[in-house]
Amino acid sequence: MKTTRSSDGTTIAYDTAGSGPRLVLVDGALCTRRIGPGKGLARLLAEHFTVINYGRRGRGDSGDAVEYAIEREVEDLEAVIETAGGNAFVFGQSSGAVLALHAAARLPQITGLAVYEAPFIVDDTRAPTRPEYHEKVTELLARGKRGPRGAPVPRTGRPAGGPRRRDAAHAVMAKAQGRRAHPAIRLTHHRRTPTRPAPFTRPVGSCPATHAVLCGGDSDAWMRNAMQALADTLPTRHTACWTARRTTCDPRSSRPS
Amino acid sequence: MLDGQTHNLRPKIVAPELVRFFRDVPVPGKAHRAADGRPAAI
Repeated sequence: MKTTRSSDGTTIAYDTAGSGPRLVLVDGALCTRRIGPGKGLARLLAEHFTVINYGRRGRGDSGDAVEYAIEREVEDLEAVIETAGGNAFVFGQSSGAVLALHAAARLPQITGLAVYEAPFIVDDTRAPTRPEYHEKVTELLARGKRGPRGAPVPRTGRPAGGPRRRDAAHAVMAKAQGRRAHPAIRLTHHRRTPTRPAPFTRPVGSCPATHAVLCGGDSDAWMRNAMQALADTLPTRHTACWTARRTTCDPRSSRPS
Repeated sequence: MLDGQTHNLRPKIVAPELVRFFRDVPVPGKAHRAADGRPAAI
């Protein structure tokens, strides 16, 4: 494990593996460097890239700050890229994709960007997040409330994903909590990431880097629709969507950058 | 967002796709070669 320091002094932990062009992995909300798909991706991608798998603030060995702003996370990513060598490709998944889009709009050091299932809600195939959700989570966390099995996200009612998905998410959170000394994964951070009603306007829509937009073919319709909308908005060079059982990738559409 | 949702990101499927995409993206400061191996302008 290595560390760097973000602009506000927060320590950011990261691992590197492999050789070749630099590729930074940006995890989703429920992930750490050790928990989630980043670890497996890093292992596979290390044959082709110098892979930098870092811990977003509030997770694992990285530090945190009391106040959250997405700009601080952009600075974290900038610090990682600067430490790694000054420029890099970036791959972001889930809320990490949203962060990566914001970062790519501001950081010319990001020379290529791939995003997987940024959880924007673009139509009525999924109910929007309840307006009071963020406030409720923030309030419960402030009161020291936690989710099942010690997970840092408290129950606030029935989420749109249904109880099965909610429990799966909480199980991941509990696992993450058990493996780290840091107090909590700050899921509250991501409630503030803009998703609606116009997620692709500036700055997200002004990303200069070359993009790939990816999604799972078996993912929910609202997610696939969001990625298609994103691909239609950005100067995306490559769009791919798979079914879970396929081992090859079929580009659903492709447009020149 | 992220209201308890999960994703179906399978590294063994996504990793080759990332390799396929990024191999054609120029790296600043390095001579770039197109997918067919020919030198390409940055």
